[in-house]
Amino acid sequence: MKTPLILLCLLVAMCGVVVASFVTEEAPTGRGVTHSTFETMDEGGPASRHTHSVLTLGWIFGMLQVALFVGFLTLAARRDARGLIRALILSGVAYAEVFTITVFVYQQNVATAEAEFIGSFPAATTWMLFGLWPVPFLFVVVYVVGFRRWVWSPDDRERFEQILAARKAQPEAPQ
Amino acid sequence: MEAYRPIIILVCVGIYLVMCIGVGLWAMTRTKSTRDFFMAGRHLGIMVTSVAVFSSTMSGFGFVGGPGLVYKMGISSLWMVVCTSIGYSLTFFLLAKRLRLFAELRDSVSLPDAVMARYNSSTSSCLTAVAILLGVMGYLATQILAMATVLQSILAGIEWIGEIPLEASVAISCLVLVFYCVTGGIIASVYTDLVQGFVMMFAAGLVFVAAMLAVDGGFEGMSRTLVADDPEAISPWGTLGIIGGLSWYFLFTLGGCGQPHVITKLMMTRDVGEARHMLPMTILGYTVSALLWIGIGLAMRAVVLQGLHPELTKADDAAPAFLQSYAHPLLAGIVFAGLLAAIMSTADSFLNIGAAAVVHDIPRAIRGRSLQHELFWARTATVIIAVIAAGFALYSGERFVALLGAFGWGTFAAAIVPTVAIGFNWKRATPLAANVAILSSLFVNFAVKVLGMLTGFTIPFGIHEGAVALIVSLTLFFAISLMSTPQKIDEDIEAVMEM
Repeated sequence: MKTPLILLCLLVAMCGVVVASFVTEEAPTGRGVTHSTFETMDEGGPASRHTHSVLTLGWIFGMLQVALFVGFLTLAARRDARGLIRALILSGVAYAEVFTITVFVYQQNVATAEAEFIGSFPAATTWMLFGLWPVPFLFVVVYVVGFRRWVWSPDDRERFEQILAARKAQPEAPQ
Repeated sequence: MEAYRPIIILVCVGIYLVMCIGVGLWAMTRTKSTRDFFMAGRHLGIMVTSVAVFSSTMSGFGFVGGPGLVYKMGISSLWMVVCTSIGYSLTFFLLAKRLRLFAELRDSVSLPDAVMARYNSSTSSCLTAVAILLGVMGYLATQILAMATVLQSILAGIEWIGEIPLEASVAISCLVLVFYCVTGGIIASVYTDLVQGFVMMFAAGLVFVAAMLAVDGGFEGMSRTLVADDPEAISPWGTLGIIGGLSWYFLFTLGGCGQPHVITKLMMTRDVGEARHMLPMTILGYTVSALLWIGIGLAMRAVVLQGLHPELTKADDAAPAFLQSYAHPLLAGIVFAGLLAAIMSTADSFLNIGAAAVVHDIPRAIRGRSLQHELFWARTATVIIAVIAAGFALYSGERFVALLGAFGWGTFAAAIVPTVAIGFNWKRATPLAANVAILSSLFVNFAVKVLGMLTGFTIPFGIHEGAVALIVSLTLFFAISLMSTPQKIDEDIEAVMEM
């Protein structure tokens, strides 16, 4: 019961973010405007459109999402699979850290008004593409490595065969 | 070679379409029952399922709309791509085991069947089927329109054919699609998905290289051009900004678990244990295919900004313009085939689940039993749904298609994520909560769209209405379930939910 209650609280907080977006001041270029030269493109304009309050609201929105995703993953885990739940939470912490770094690096760039490059992209974009994209692969590793132990064990298979056999033995099993 | 470009493209596309017909004929010999038609006899292996799952997700939008969005908004739309690793993880953790076990235990042939098994509620099952049908109509109409437009532009390049009416193009493309869907049902659909998936990956990989070569300095050159013009476009949030971009991330990450044409594939697998291998393979397939989305979008924005290419007439022309100007004719041919593949692999899944809703789910929910001669009616319904969707696409006008489009990803996400992805993993979830979640998803998505059309209303910071609908439906689902009296679940289903 604890996990669903936590999830409900997270969801209510997300509703709060949506409500907060209605009362937070949005810059004229807040969601992009038509490019000054090319009509079929948009431009974001000055990075100052991401004021401190907008960035904070965005960071909260992102962190709530990470928490919600990890919460949903744990909802799928058996209650006795503590190792799985621990692995998911630890992976979630790494995920949240990378997201925070992405926002932080972007904020630094806004403050210095110049784009620092890492590889081929501005630093914050590099964190998004090469950090935030692959880091949830930790969950995939947990799934693949822990599959037989926590997701579908030989005992589960045997138990399911029994349930199936019992159901087939019922004279008029409802479909 | 350049002089023969239109012919080469037509030949590549022709080979692909003939291959689809061949798969349809082969699958017909393997389709003997409704279970074969809707569930592929639950015999799908690792490779087929993995490719079918990712290629059904990557619709024509990914190959046309995706590059167009990157061209228009910079990095913003990549939030729909970087969500793949977490999105598919959620789908597999929450659904791969449960859906497959429910399907075997109750011999389910559709998602509403599994909903019926879980909630013991014909209302929940019927509402799920109705939400699916509405979504299918909207999605299918836009996919058919996209398919016909692509075919029309290919044929227009051939001198002796010239410009053909859109109606004729719809007829030709639908004929192939409907042929293999009617003859081979979901078996034809998933095996064409297999071909389509590999075509998409191959095409995307080559295009990505071509895109890097098209701009001086490769990716860094593109990046610096974009920074010089508008640093925000190449920032992690793109021109849309942080809150709007993250709303897309939320919708496309969690919404993936609610796409019926995708998750139904998880009911068709040969063995639950194979899900372990499918998850990484699915992510790999989608990631490779998405290279086209990223590569073309960034390259076209950069070359236009550099003045090396005239401005596009509309953003969605990014992919066709790139192929015409920067890709070798043979590559262009493969990519055009890949483009049709991306559209058809999604459309065929929609046709199949739509037919299941009409001939199986809704009659069962209302009358308590399916139609007689279900296989015959399933084939008939497939044709009828395709004809109606084609009619909507051609004659209902842009506004109506846009309204139908509202019943797409966002509605599926808000209706099915709570009811199926969460409800199948949480015993306390109640049918009442599921019904309210489905109705709220329809209402919020529709209301915001209509309000937008009538008054120009938009949610601040470009927050996607589908994300709001998903948050609302999930909140209602949890709150109502926790407040209402727990419902009794059948023993066998409860035992499976404890696994």
